[in-house]
Order: sequence, then structure tokens, then C-alpha cells
Amino acid sequence: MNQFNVWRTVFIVGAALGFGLCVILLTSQEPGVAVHAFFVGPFSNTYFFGNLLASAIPLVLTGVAACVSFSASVFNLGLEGQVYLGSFLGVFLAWRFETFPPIVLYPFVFSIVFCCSGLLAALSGYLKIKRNVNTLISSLLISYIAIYLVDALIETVFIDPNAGMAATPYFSDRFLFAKLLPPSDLHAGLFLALIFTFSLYLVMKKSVFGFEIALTGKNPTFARYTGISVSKILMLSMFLSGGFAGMAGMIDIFGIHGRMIRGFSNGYGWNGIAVALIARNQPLWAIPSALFFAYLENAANVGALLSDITPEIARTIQATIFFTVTAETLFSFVRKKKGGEAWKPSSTASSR
Amino acid sequence: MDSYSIEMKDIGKVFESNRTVALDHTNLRVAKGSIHALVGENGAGKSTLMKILCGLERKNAGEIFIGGIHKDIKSVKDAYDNGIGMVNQQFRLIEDYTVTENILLGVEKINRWGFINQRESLRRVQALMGTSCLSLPPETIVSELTMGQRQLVEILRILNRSVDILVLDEPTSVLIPQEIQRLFLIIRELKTQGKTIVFISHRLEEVFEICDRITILRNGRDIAEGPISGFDKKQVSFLMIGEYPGALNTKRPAKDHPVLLKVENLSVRDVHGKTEVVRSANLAVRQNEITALVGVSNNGKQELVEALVGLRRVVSGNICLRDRELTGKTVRDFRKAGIAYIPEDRTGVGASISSSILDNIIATKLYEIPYSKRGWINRKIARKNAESLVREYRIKGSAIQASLDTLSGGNVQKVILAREISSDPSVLILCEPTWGLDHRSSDYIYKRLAELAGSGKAVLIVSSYLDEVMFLADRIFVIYKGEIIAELENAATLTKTTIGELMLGLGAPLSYVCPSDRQGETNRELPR
Repeated sequence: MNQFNVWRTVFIVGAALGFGLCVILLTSQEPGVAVHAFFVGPFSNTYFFGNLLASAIPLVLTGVAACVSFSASVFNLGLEGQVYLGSFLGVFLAWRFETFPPIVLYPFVFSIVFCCSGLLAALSGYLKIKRNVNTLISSLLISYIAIYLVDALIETVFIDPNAGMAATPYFSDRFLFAKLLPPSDLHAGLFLALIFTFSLYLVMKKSVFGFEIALTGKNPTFARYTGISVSKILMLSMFLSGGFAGMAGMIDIFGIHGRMIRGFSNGYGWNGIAVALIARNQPLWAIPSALFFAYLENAANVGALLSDITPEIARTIQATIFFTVTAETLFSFVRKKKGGEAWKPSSTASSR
Repeated sequence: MDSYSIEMKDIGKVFESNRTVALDHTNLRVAKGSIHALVGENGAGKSTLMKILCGLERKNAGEIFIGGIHKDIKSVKDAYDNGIGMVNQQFRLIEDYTVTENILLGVEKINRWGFINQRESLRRVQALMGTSCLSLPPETIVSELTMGQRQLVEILRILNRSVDILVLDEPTSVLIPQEIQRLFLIIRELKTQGKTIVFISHRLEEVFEICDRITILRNGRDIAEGPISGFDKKQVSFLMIGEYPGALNTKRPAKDHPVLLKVENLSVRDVHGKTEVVRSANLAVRQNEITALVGVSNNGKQELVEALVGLRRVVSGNICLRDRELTGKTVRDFRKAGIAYIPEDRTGVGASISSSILDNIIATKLYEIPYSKRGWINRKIARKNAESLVREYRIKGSAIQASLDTLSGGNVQKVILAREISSDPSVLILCEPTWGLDHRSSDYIYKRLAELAGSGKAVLIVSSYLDEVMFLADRIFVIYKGEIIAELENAATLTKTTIGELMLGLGAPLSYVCPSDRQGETNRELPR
């Protein structure tokens, strides 16, 4: 990310927070308390702060997942479904193999979840290559199919009749990740998220494969010309993207919930896309970007707890950010297109 | 004077973006009810002149009279109002719409609720087809039509605006022969209805078949005009291309160097996989030589080159580099074997304009040992290589992290050239070597190419600029309608006119002499 981009990002974030401030001032009866609760509240004690970090974990991973596919210019909009499928599979496997010691179960479950969610996303890539189906649409629709199938399973076969809501029974708490900052939700999955993000960063930055992904994303025709198998790269980047999304859901389950709850992941996928947009597809920048999103979410919750503002405030600010970021990305995309055509004296000369 | 339906006087047009004079005091007079040919080389200004007439471009100087009355045409709508319509070379149709919807595009029949009146639309289109004797199934989706039928949709759309003057820009370039004949019937029919037609083409046989009068453009000037009966094909071709000046003569005599890249009976299909655009082509690129491939566009030149670098699937025939069979191999195999390629579309195909100089330079080399090991890039070596190339090729703005879109066109070309030459290829295939380059950069590229050829490599240039070909090449292959119709040695007696005639399919095809069979005989029998 160059300096110009950093300043742009700072401006966007600042504008959104400023907008949030205005909304709070307009709606709150006691603006002083509300502003304080909103902006400082999440950092005021270990419980709030730990929860902030914990809610950033899945966002980092879905953000990274979006980064991979966006880098290759294939748009995986099915993150939500891949998160959901990953979570459910994690719960199911932890249940099915509850006699395993955790040290054996983790790598086993992780790889299966990664592959299954990855394949769900790769299906869209396959349809794109074979049938030229728009990935945007196919990934979204396939994701909805996955969500409703999993919902059906939760509601029928796997429902816990004593839970009082649509949720499966808990799996053995031997498998739950260690808590880092009790009483908050922060768990050891944080390290997993960091390890995943950092390894992806290394792959994107230092490996031939990462180079191929980026080049395919920037100019697929040129990529083909240099000898890259563009369809292979499309499939693989979709697979990785889906895999990371699956991890996001599963780590959240193993860290906090201990069971599958219907609709628990609401928004992880979509927010992941926003995280990637703010991070401009750079995996490492997904971390601060996810922290910021988590901060907004928690600030609203804390604000609602300690003063008279409602959590909807945070949604308003998130929406503002989403709006500014996408508008801005669109703008730079349009400019790039124009710029690309500016230098073509040779071919215009010939076609005359 | 009022017998002229179009009169364009002293038209001038300068393109600011690349400071080229496209039209320089150009005149055009088209008689009412005639079919008028407008011919010239690529870049002679034909399309620009017509775009000005149709309001797609603004003129910098000159006057236009339509039916003897002075007109100022500022937009396409102005042109329609004055009865002028143009069918472009690239069709502008909405492929998912029906024939009717496309014909009535922009002038839809609306009922009083603001919806399109389907019945009225259909009636209008059928009436139009009736009066112009063109018929098409009105409810068919355009994407299901053949190229010829799509063209009819374009023509009908123009006729619907009740125009008197029809400009057809290279109308036959995408058509198959039967469709061309059908088009000619339609053009003649339109003529009997009193329409005036301007026919842009560089296929002379067609011009002579259908046109009444002709205007020849060269370098933005009208250099000849008159009834077609006053010309013959050779004369027109001479006027279009001009004689090649002897001054540039630095030809090296071609010797029988060993063949590096050999192509035998190669056939290639177009993008849709339907028609064969290259038919059993034979080509031999020799060591220590610069070979040129020339041909008018849409004659299979581009497809042949793409097959030579592994980007396009081969239907039949083979490609061999030295003794290695490369047919059916991947792009990477072609590159590994020693073929480097600089495509015509530098910024679309030959480079990633939003990536850095470094990334563009290493993109093709990344898979070899010093640059990467077990899938991990050695950035240090890559950077060193890029830096030394930036220095060697004097690429300005030389930070290797700079993205390519910050460089000038010439420097972008140098980046691509540096990448391709530094991979130490046995054969370098270079399309349009000096497009968009100024004199200095062109000279630099000529020097590099000569050096390459001198050092035991083979160079194949594909150029539409004949002066350049005559200047550089030792051996020239001419492709016409997908077939290699001539192999010429660039000796002192070879003229640009000869090549031009061959390219236009006028010269009698030389009997193809397989290089290895040829012993002592002079292979340059000039067609007469």
C-alpha cells in the first residue's frame, strides 16, 4: 500500500467516524456519555477489549479469504456460505470423533473443513471456466444453497431439543480453544488467524504462485501470454478463498460457541469483503482493517450498554464506510480503465 | 454543382493526442446515386474522413456540402438529419436483442403508456424490409445471426433513419465470399433506389467489381479521383502505396542459413473454431536473418503468429524449432524452447500496465532456477536483473518499482523488448516493431534487431509498414487469405509495389519453393 492509499484510507475511516459522531450527537439525550461510551468504552476494561479482539478473529480470516479471490480478479461473494459450511462441518466432526485427543483432532478437522469449504468455492471457479458462468452470481447462489441445507440439518437431524433455539448440542469442551483473557471471549484461535494471515502474506508476496495470482488478476491476457494457466489460477484462488472462509467459521465455533447455532455467523462473509476492500487486497492490512470493523461493532454494543444509543448506530457507520470504500474503489477502477486507454496512439493510428 | 451529393473541401484533421496529421486538405466529391470507392492504405485517413462526414469526429478545417448546401455536421444526429448514415467495420449491435429491437434502437415505437408497441414496431420493420428488398427474420436474436445477416441489420437500421447517403466502412472484411456477393446485390439495389454509397475498402477486386468512381487517399491526401474505368488495379495499388524510395537501401543478400523455426502445412481456426483462417501455411525462419511476414489485416497474419508462440491451437500441420517438435505444446514450452514474442497489442497482451517494471520483466522468467527455487521467488536476483536491464535499455524513470502506466509509450516498449531479448531466445517474433515510436526509438530497435540477427539468432517481424520491412528484412513471406502465397528474397530488384500487389492478391502467386529443395535457382520470380 503506498502512501497515497494510506491517506485515502485514513480519510475514509475518519469521514465515517465523523459521520457516526454526528449521528450520535443528533440522536442521544446525553451526548457526552454516549460519545465517551462509544469511542472509549471498548478499551475501558479487559472484558470489552478481549471481546473486541475475539470478534476481529473471524473477520481477519474472511477478509483474507476475500483478498485472495479479489487479487485474482474473481469475485467470491459466497464467503457467507463457506463460513457456515465450515462451521457446521467442524462441529459435526468434533462430535463424530469425540474420542480423539485434541492434538490429533485439530489438524484432521482443519484440513477437512478447509478442503470442503474450498471446494464449495472452487465449484464457482469450475463453472466459470467450463460454462463461463459469472463467479459473482454462482458463488452467491451456491452459498445460499449451502446455508439453507445446513439450516435444514440443524433444525431437523442435529437439533438440541433442550437448547430452546435452533442449535446443535455442545461438543466435548476438551476441544474448545484456551481462553486468553478471561472473562472475555478472546481465545487461542487468535494465533491461528495470525498464522494463516501471515502465511498467506508470504505466499502472495514471495512465491511464484502468489505472483501468478496477482498477475492473473491484473491482466489475464498478459498472464496467458507469459505461460500461466489462467484457469488453474482461477480455480486455486477460489479454493483458497473458500478454505480461509471455512476456517473463519470453524475457529469462531471452536473458540467461543462450542456448538452450531443457526445464523451465528451473520455478516462475517459480507464484512470480510468490506475488510478486504479497505485493506486493498493486502493480507497483512486485513488485520487492522478487521480490528476497525470489530471495534465499530463492539463500540456500538458497549455504547448501547452504557448509554442511550442503539447498536444500529454502528451499522450506520459500517454502511457509510462500506459505501465510501466501494465508491472509491469503483472510482479508481474507472480511472485505471481510462488511463489504460490513454496510451494507445499506435493502434488508433493504424485503425484510421 | 448540385449533381454532387457529398462535397468535402480542404478537410484538415489533427489528432492532438499523438500529434499526427490525419487529413491534410483532403477533398472528396461523390456524385448523386453512384457507388463511390474510397481506398488507401492503413492509416491513409479513409475512416477519419468518413467519421467527420458522419459526425463522429470533428474536423479542424474545411467545408462540407451536402446536396450543394453548406452543412455543419456536429453529431451523429446532425448526420442523420442530413440523410447520412454509416455502417461501421465493427458492428454496433446489441447481441441479446432481436432484429427488430436493434433496427429500431433509439427510435422505438412507443404506445401511449410509454411501453414499446410491439405490433407497430414489427409492422415498421416489415415495411422497411419490403421497400429495401432485404429480408431477415424479425424476431431472431442477433447473436444467432451470421456476420452477413448482422451487417444487414446494421444497414436496415441506417435505412430506417431514411438516409440518402450510406457509408460502408470495410463492409466485406468479416464476410465470407457468398455473403459478399449478396451484399453487392443489395448495394446495387440501393443504388437503383437512388441512394448514394461510399464504399471503403482496400480489396481492389471488390472495388473494381462494384464501384462507379474512385478516390484514392495516401497519407491524408486525395491523390487521385475519377471514374473507375479510367484506372486499372496495378495503377491504383501503385497510387495507394507509392513507390518505395531507393534511398533506404541497406539490404543484405540472403544466404542459405540453416532454418531455426520451421512451419509445415499449418492450419489454424478463428476464435469461434469455425473457419480456417490459416490454411496449410509453410514458413521457415532462418538463423542470422531477419524474416518478415506481411499481409493485409484479416488475412490470418495474427492467427498464424499466435500459433507460432503456442497461444492458439493448431488444427493440423507442425511447428518445429531446430529439430524439436513444438506442435500442441503449452506457451511455457514454447518459451523454454527459445521463442520470444512481442505482440502487436503491447499494453493489452504484452504487458501488465498496472504492474511494476520489475514484475513485468520477471513475469516470463520466474520459472527458472536463479529467479525462483521450489516455488519461492528470489527477489534479490530478480531485482538485480531488472535493474541491469533498465540501465542497459536506458528506460527512463528508472525505479524498477514504478508501475508501467507511469512510463511513456516508448519506455513501455523498451521494457517489453528488454524482457524478451534478455531471455536469450533463439527466435524473436516481433509484431509491428516500431508502432507508436519516434525516430530515435525506432532506430534503436532496428539496431537491436540487426544485432540479434547478427549474433546467430533468428528474427521474425510482422509489420504492416512496408518501408520498414524493405529496410530490415532479408526474406519476406506474404500471407493472403490465410495462405502463404510468396517467399521473396529482399534483393535490390524487389520493389514495394510488387509486395503490395501480392498482399492485395493481385500478383500471380509464386510457386512455393521449399527452401531445402531450392538449389542455385533464383527464387525471386517477379510476378507479371
